[in-house]
Order: sequence, then structure tokens, then C-alpha cells
Amino acid sequence: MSEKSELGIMDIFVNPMKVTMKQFFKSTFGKPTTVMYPLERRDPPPTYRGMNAVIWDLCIGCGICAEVCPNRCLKMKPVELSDDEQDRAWYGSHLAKRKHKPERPAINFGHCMFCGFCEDYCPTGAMTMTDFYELADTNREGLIYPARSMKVDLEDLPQLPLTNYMMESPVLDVDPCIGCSKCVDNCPTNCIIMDVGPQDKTLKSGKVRNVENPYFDYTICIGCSTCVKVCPADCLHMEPISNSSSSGLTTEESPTEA
Amino acid sequence: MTLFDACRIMAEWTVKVLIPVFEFQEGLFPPFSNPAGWVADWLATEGGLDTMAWFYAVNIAFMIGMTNLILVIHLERKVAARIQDRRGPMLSFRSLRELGEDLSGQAPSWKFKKNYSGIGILQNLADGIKAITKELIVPAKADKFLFTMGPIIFISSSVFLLALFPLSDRFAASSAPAGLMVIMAAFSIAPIGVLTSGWASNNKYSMIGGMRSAAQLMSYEIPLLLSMAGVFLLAGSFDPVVIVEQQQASTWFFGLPMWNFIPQFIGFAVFMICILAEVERVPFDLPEAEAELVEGWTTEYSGIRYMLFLAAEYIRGFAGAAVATILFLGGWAGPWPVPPEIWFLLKVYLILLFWIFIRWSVPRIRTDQILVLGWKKLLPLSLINLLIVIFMVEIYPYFTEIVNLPEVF
Repeated sequence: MSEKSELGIMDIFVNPMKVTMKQFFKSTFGKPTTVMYPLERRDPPPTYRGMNAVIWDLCIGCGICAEVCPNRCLKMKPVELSDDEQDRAWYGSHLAKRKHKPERPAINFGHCMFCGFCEDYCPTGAMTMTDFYELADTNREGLIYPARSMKVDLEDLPQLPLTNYMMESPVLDVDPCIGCSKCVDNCPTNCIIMDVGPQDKTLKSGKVRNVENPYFDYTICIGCSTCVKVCPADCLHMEPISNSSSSGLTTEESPTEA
Repeated sequence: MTLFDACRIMAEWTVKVLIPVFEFQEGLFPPFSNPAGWVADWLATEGGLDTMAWFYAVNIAFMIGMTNLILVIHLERKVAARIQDRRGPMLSFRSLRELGEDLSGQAPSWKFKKNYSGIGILQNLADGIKAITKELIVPAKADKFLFTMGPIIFISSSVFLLALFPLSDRFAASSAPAGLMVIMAAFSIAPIGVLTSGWASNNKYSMIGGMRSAAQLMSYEIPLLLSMAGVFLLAGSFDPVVIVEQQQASTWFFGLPMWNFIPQFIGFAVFMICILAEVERVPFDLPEAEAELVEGWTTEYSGIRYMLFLAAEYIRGFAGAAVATILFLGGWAGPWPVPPEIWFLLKVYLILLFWIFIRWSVPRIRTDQILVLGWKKLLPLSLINLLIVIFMVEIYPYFTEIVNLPEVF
């Protein structure tokens, strides 16, 4: 319309009108794309990350989800397990031996950004993200979901092999170890045993006794670093997995170099 | 029987009831003179009866216009939604039933159709109620008097339009002999209200919006009136009834109606562009360009004032479409079984639908572009149209008389 403009009446009026008319007839005599939300719902995509749910029968309380959470919105909270839950839990027999209460994740969804790391790193597949998205609440306290509200029960449990997604495993420094076996008591997967170590110590009575050291089964170690946290003598530390044959990640198809 | 005659009869009935009431009031306090008696005396005269009749006629026109307004807004919202692949305002009794089921725990016994479409028009009522209940905010440093006067000027001049155009020759609140001139005069008052509101808001966006309205007025007003002049020449009158009767009388090949948009196509195109600028719809909504100025000259307004601004804009749109229908599309002329009022509204709604499509199709015009368009394109075109009409009216009959003289040969 202005003098410098090179657009004609076709470009500024006729062609846009054609597009508008086409869309109008398409959505009037066909169906519009939008759905009437509270009354009709559209299925979320299969990989949709909504509210979390924890399969308590699979959860071993290792705390990896709390460790990898970028927003620190997921905390491990101690819970009382009923006898039935205790019986049905995977590694349930071991949980009874623990000195403190078993822990389960609780989430503050006000801080959660639904990155899905907790689901990705969970070694047993207990942490899942459902397609439930209606989390709106009237106050902030309503967004804090305690551990028991996240519990789900499944008929068929997916018994996945324990996998070390952290790519780290504990390594023992032998000299400071006092052989207290706290790591054995706290290991969520029961992958540590105490056995004869290289050191001896002399008791006050003059007797010489061997100091037992922890030995790790790296095929079922999940790299949760619970043993490192509970060690009183600070003799354990985590190291990246260098040898894949000891990580439990190897399968028979994957070529491993000797 | 016209609308005014019906209202006159209603007024006579009303006066028969009202006069005894006023006289009774006068008799209540005899020592003092009571204005109720004066009112009773005045109602008995011819002038009083006419005033009552006008009261009824204007109220009926106002009610029809306001009801129509909701339909226009709903049409705009629904068509805009379909153009954008949405649904627009949706509600149905079925959804209300499910809501009741959720609240009470048991299903009500009413049964309705399966889908959720239906009474989305209630959304407009809800919006109106919401706007009425909101606070009327006046900015701290605003000119309070002008801030109040601006809406009054704009809205009253727009609502005034409702009383001016007839829906048919029998259904008109007012069909004055100079009807279309009065309509165009009422149209031209509104930019003063826009400028006043924009100035008084003490807001740079409102200010720019008001100034743009004034600048826009300069460019479209002259071609608009010149393009209308052709129709007035053809009909020889400003009266809408006479103009439509002229269009009804004139025929084309095979007795097809020749409404004014066929011989005066140039004038029709110019008029449609200019009336679009007059009612400030896209692509000529320079005063409230929501992409550039926040909400234009209505930025600082809230509550019922803002709602009435919106309503007045739609009233102006409806009135503009009605003027276009009367001038160029044959008004209420149409085949018999459908009543003329329905024909008139049908044509008006077609024009409104066309405007809605334009709204979602074309980009907004710039201030310099609208001046170039108005003065360099539309003004010469409307003059050419006027020349053609002068040729049609004055010179062409002369030639036809010469040619059709059978006695010469």
C-alpha cells in the first residue's frame, strides 16, 4: 500500500483470506484441535514425565534418587513398614537387620522440575514417573508429598537386575579400617561381606587378632555410597568404574578386553 | 403499522393508567402545589403522548441493539476460535449436569445430548457480570473530569447510533429525512471521546492511541462521505427508507435486482474500506494496536467503563455494517417469505462475518500508510465513482431518450 512496498493486493488481502477461509471450514465442519479439558482428556505421550510414584516392594531405600536430584526436592524419610510390607519387599529379609528405620523418598513438588533423574538412576526400577499431571493445589504445603503418599502396589513386579547407574563403586583403604562392619549393616543390596584382612592388631590382653576387612561384590553394587557415608574411620571412598568387567554392566554380547 | 404507531398505542394505554396515579399523588397534600399534577396535565397533551411513544420506541431499539450486541460478540469469538483451530466459549447443560454430579455425588435426572456444545453464549453474560463488579480505577495523576467525560462521549454517541438506522420501513425507532447524515455525524463524534480519554489517562500509550485516532480521522472521513454521495445522488434523498425503495425499484437483466453495489462497485469498495476505518476494526485499529500500544486509549480504564468501551465498539461495527447494507446492499429488500427485518439482519451479519475474516487475515496498517491510502488512492477513486454516478443520473437518460425516439424513422 505504501509507495515503496512491492506487495500487491494478492499478497496482502487475497492469499491471507484464502488461508483463513480454508482453516475456518476445516475446523468448523471437521473438528478443532483443542479438547474441552476437564470434560475430555487427551492421553499424554508414553514418555510423559508427570507425578512420581514409588513401587515400595522394589524400593531398597538406597537414597540415590535424593543424591541425584538437581533441585534437592526429594528427601529420604524414615518410615514404619508394616509386617506385610516387610514380607513383600525385595531384599525384605535384609531390611529387618538394619539398625535404623528403612527410608523411602518424599518429594516437594513445588521445587520439582520433572527432570526424571530419579527415575533414570534408580537401580531397581522402583521410582517411576506416571502421566498424572493435575498437581495444582491451593497452598504450598499441599505440594509436599510425604513418603507414604507416593506408594504404589503392582501385581507383576518388574524384577530388573540391579544396575550401577552411578558409575562409581566404593574402594577400601586398608590401613585405617577397624573392621567394625557398619558398612555391611547399612548396605541396601547386601553386597558386602567381612573376611580376613591383611592386618593384625594386638589387643590389651596381648592376644593378636586379625582385622576383618569388607569385600565388595561389584556385580550387585549400585554405587549408592551409603557405606562411605556411614564409615566411622573414613577408610572408604568412591572411585569411577574403570574396569567394566567388575561393574555388573557387562553382558555376554558386549566385547570386553582382557 | 410502524413501530412508532405501535408505541403510540402503548403510550395511550400507559397514560390512562398514569394520569390517575399522578392525580392521586397531587391530592395527597392539598395545601402545597405538587409537580405530579403538572406531569399529569402534560401527559394528557399530544406532546406528552408523543414523548411516551418515543420513550417506548427508543427503549425497544436499545434492547434489540443490546441483545444483538451479545450475538455479534459471540459470533466474533466463535468464528475467531474456528479460524485459529480452537473451540471458543463452550458450555452446555450436560457439563452443568456433570458439575452437579461432582458436587452432590448423584446424577441429576435431566438428560441432554451427548456432546458438550450448546450455551457458550452465556460466557458473554459472565464477562459482563465480571466487568460490572470490578473496581473503577482512576489513575493518580489523571485529569479526573476528562477521564470521566471521555467514556460518556464515546459510549453515548455509539449507543445513539442504535436508534438511528431502521431495520425495515415499518420497524424503525427513527427514520428521519436526513437519517444517514445524522448517522455519519454521530459516527464522527466518537474520535473526540477517544482523544479525550487518551489525553486524560496521563499515559503515553493512551496518548498515542488518542492522537492516532485523530490522525486516522483525517484520512478516511472525506473518501467515506464522497463515496456515499453517489448513493444520495441516485436516490435523491438522505432518508434510508427512500434509498432502499430506490434500490428495490431498480432492476437489471431478467428482473434481477440492481442494488447499488453493482453500478457503483468502486464506491462500494471505497465505502467498505472507509467504514472499516471508521469503526476502528482490524486492519485499521491504529488507536488500540495491542501489539504496539498496550491497549491503546483504553489502557487505563477498568470495570464497567472498559466493558462499555468494548460494547460501544461492537455497536459501532454493527451500525457501520447496517449503513453499508442500507446504502449498497439493498437494505431490507429480499424475496417474500422471509420478513424484511430478517433480510436486513442477514445482510448485516454477512458483512460482519466478512470483517471477522479480514480481522484474522490481514496485518495492521501503519499511520503513514493509512494517510497515503486515504488521500492518494481512495479519494481519487471516490471522485471517479461520483463522476460515473453523475453520468448515470444526468447524462445517460438524455442519450436513451434520443435513441428511443421511434417517430423519427
